[in-house]
Amino acid sequence: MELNEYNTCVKEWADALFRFACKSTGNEEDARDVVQNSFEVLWQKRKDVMPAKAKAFLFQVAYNQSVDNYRKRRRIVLKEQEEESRTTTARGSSDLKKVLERALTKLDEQARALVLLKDYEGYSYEEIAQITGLNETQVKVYLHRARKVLKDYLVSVENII
Amino acid sequence: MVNKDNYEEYMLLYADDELSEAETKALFAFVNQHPELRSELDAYSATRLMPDTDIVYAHKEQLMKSSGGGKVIGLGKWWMYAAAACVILFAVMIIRNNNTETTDSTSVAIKEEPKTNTTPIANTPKELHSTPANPVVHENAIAYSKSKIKNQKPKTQSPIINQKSPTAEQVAKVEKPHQPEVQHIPVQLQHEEPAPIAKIETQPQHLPVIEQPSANEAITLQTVKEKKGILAWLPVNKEKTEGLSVLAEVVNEKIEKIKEVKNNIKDSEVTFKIGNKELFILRL
Repeated sequence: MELNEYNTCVKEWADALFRFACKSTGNEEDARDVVQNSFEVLWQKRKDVMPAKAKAFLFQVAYNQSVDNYRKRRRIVLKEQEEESRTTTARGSSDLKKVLERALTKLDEQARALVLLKDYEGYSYEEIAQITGLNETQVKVYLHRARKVLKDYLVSVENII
Repeated sequence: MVNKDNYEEYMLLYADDELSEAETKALFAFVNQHPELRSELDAYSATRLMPDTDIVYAHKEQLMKSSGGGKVIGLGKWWMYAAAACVILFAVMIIRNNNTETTDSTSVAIKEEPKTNTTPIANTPKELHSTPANPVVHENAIAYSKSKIKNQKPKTQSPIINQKSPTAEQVAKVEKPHQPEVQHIPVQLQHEEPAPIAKIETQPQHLPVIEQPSANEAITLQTVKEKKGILAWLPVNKEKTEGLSVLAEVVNEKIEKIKEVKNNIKDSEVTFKIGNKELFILRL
């Protein structure tokens, strides 16, 4: 990968990577660190990464950082957010997008990352498997499990409302 | 085909956008046949997230790289190499200065010798020019020369002998500055012999002039010794100074190695960072 190609990657994928990292970590500062680290790793390994694979490489690095490095921190934050979401749900938010975002917090980091890669970036099971290091069956099973959790949350919220 | 056992699997695949067109049509046909499953299909469809395009990474230019990007070198190691190079260079500078001072002092001592020779020669022509420059004078001088060369040798040696005898008698403090003169002066005489014309011009009146430079020489040697470095002041033997020169050679080899490292460092960059924020890039 040449310099121009790298800079093109920054232009094309920085926003998507930042969105993914924001939703994965739940924190903008952490997401910014994830994006910076991901591009730094890409720059260091630019000779080994083909431009066509750069996006997947970036998301792979971001996934590993988001899931591995922030797992423990997020567990603490999630407990706080759960309590917060209960109170806001009780107030009655009809915005499906916000409810869905809260539903995302019900998922563990890995499941959330899988849903984000699937829905935000439109990756196939095979591509997600390459990014996450899981096999295709695992990706499918984890994703379906995550969908059921999200669906149950949405249904339960509708019942409350 | 979609049935009551696998419809949920199809709904999940539909939510994941993994169904083909035919499979999607089959799912919707099944749901149309079982309207009670419509809400479940809608719930699964609602789990599909839409990207939040409001979230944008603000400082993309910080992530971009400028042209001529080189290797990223660890800052800590770089500073270690730089510090080591500085220490070695400093040590080499000190040793080299000491060596040059000692060599300069010896060279000055050697250069002082011809001054003692030239001073009488330089003085004599002036005196000869002041006197009428007649060939007769030269003839006389030549006539003198053969007899005076023999006389001059003891006379030139006489200050040496005079210096030797008091040094042997005097205190050891006086001996030390005069000893190198005693060693150098016989060499002067050997140089003087092939040029007898210079000696021809010397007259007995100038003999004290020969003695004066030797006194000046002693003064200059003293000043040279004052200029010498710490090594000159220390009672260091020649062997030890040679050992120091060997040490200097070893250090020079190290310098060559450092130069090689420096050449390797060329065309590379050092990126200064705090955390992940790039402050500036130092190009070597």
